[in-house]
Amino acid sequence: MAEPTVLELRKVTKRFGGLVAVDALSFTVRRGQIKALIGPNGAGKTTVFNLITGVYPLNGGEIWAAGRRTSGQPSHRVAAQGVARTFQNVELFGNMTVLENIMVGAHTQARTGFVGASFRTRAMRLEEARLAQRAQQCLHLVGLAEVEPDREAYSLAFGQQRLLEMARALAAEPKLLLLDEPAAGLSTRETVRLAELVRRVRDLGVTVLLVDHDMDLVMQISDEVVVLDHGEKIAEGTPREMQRDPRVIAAYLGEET
Amino acid sequence: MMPDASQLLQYIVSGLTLGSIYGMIALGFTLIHNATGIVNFAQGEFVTLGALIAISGSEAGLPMPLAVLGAVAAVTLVGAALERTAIRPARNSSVITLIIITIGASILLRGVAMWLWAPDPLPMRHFTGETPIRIGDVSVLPQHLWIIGIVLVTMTALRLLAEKTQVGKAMRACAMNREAAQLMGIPVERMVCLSFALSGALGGLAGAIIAPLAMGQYNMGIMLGLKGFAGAILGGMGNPLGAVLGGTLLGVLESLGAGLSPPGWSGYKDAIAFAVMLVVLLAKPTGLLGRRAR
Amino acid sequence: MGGNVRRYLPFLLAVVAAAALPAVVRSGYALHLAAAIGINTIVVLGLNLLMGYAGQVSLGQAAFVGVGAYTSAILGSHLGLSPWIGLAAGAALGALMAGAVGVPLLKLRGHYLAMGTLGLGMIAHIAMVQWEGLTGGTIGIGGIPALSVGGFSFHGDLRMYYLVAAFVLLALLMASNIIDSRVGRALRAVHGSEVAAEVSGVDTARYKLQVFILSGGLAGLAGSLYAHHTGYVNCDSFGFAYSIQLVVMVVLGGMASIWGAVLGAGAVTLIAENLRAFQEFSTVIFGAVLVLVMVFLPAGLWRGITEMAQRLGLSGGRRRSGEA
Repeated sequence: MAEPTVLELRKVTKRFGGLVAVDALSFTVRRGQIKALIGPNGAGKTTVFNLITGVYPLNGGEIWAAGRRTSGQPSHRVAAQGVARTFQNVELFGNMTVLENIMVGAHTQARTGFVGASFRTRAMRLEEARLAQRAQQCLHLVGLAEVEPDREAYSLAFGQQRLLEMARALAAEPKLLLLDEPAAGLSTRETVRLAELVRRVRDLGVTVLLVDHDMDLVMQISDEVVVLDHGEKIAEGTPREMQRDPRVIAAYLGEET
Repeated sequence: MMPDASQLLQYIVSGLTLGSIYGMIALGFTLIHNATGIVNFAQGEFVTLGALIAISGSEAGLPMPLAVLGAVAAVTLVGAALERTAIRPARNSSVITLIIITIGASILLRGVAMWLWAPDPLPMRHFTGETPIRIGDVSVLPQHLWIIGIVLVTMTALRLLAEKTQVGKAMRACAMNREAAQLMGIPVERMVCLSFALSGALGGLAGAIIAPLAMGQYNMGIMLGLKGFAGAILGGMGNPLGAVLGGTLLGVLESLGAGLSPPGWSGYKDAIAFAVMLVVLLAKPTGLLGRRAR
Repeated sequence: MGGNVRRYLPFLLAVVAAAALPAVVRSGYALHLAAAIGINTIVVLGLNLLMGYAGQVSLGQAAFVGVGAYTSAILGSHLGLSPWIGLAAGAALGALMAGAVGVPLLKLRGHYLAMGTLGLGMIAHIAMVQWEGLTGGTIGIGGIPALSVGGFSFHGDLRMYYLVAAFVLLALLMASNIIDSRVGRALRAVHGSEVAAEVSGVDTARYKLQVFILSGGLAGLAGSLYAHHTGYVNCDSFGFAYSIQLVVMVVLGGMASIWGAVLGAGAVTLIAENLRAFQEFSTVIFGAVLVLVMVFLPAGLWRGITEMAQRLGLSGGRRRSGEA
């Protein structure tokens, strides 16, 4: 029943004024893959994430996720289709607890509205219990089991904040998980745990697309890699192939000044 | 019912007078907004204090120029004091908090005005008498000319300040890019204080010169402030030239609206400014001379 | 089971306190004041949800209160309809008007939204003053019938106090339920990080509008209660000053707390009432208090008090963020 292709970008283009940030980009991510999007700084990687999640509108092309056309849809609709993401600079809900943050992640898995909430109907209470339980599961999944669920989100250590954001993203049982620089600011040990976590998540049936500058991490866990430079795809293949690709090397060397 | 040309011209002249006041107030808003990103809800109270202090000075026997200058100086200090005591300690707070702080400051200043000057409106002597001057078909009060003249001179002076002096250039740099200005060694905090002081001066001057026509009263600042803000929005929030033009245009629209409205509807004239503001906010938030919307 | 006790205990205490108040406070004037506080509390609760939880600003809330008041006045006094219809219609019209203006207005952010709501409030007030055929202009509308059930009329300070108290308690319960639910989390998410909320599947535009509509409905309800309480409405009560006063109540009491709403409404109403003789001073004090609280206690008085209590070891257990 599930589609073999979880994400497809078809000639996606994005302009900011006169600047072309993403230029006719096309690639696919197959179900069960861990794919990485890499490239020198300013290559357009986070922009691609913002386009996929509907934060920016496209200027050209189409994006298809989980079998439906998602380009042109507002972010919350894209999320409802099964696309979840984390942010480069962790975007937690600072005004809520650890558990509440994750529960918001599962927003699309519930239906209670103002009426049900006001009257605290039985359906609402059952749903709340289910959401809380799901949130606890996600907390355990990402390795934050010992953390007090009632702590304020930003009271956690930075590495834990990143994990919390991932737990929030996983709460909705997404088909596609976008990780924006998940290893940034993490210690070597934390990065190793992150790699394990990403593999575990994939084994649970979530397809992963990640952006990161940590080449070791990328090479270690990715099945395939897409290389961007100045908004264009310059290479695509296995990590091994990319390491030997002269165009890729040139793009990165060009960055080292 | 249809007005003739001279009546129309009359409306436009009084509209220009009122509009130039709105323009100065709007400029005050813009200066602070450019320096800090916040909207100063106490701007109207600067106008009130300017008017009342000028009235008191004049009553006390001071020659008119001194009374006006004294009022401007006093309100300049009030502006700077406001920044120091209420804004600076909270400069990292959220938008809502800062909005409420300036609202609180406006309430405070209004209360002080009510306390020191009593709630009743106070008259002020026209600068050079009340004999109307005929210019073609239009009859103009000397005070109208004073207002328009003073505003023009002030705007020119500010333009020169902004472009020719070190301080002016520093303020513009802060408005454009605060971090960069800071890195270049510009004392940003002092620029913020200066913008409040300057807004105080502009507001105070506006109050002092409109007082002969509008009378001085503790609550005159509310409407004037809000309409000045509407003018700033109309012209393009963040654009000083836009503020002045927007305020002036608003004054003319209001005057025409009041004059041309069918009988019984003239009471709605105050709504014109707000309706215009809403239309701009919803249709083109960057205003007529649209700059980046903060 | 323990969770239920913890959840409902404050309400039980509030019910007891509200029921016992008239025995402690004998004077009719004080009960009249208590009813006024209650009516303000209902408006403030809606505004609290809007500003404190969803993070939006409204500087024109008096308009919705006015809509409710005039609806009850016109239906009750001019058309002779049952006051209960007036009450329902007042709440409904407040909600509807909020919905109508909210659709375009809520696209604005921060200061622009604040000014937009302010502009709208001003226009509404000007309309109330000018549209004499409908509102009676500055003369207002009198002879508004009191609410009654069967032969029992809610007339007089004591009865009206109890009626208002009942509405307040219901509104508090509803607000508390909303906050501690998926909806409440969604609202707080919008406030915390709009982008993260959207990406988590929260339709931020819809939630902003819905909470705005709710605040409009509550304000309309309060306006209606006010009309049936005093029997007379006049446009002076629904101007810019009242809108600002309401915001002061929200902010002073504490934006992320429903009991803060009661505290804020009570404090401001009492200060305003007691300093009515010294109007200039009340204004100066209002302003000064507002500035001081916002600079030093931006989370409001309720949070300030509870934090102090915690520090003194008076309240046990952890504080769950966002809970009343």
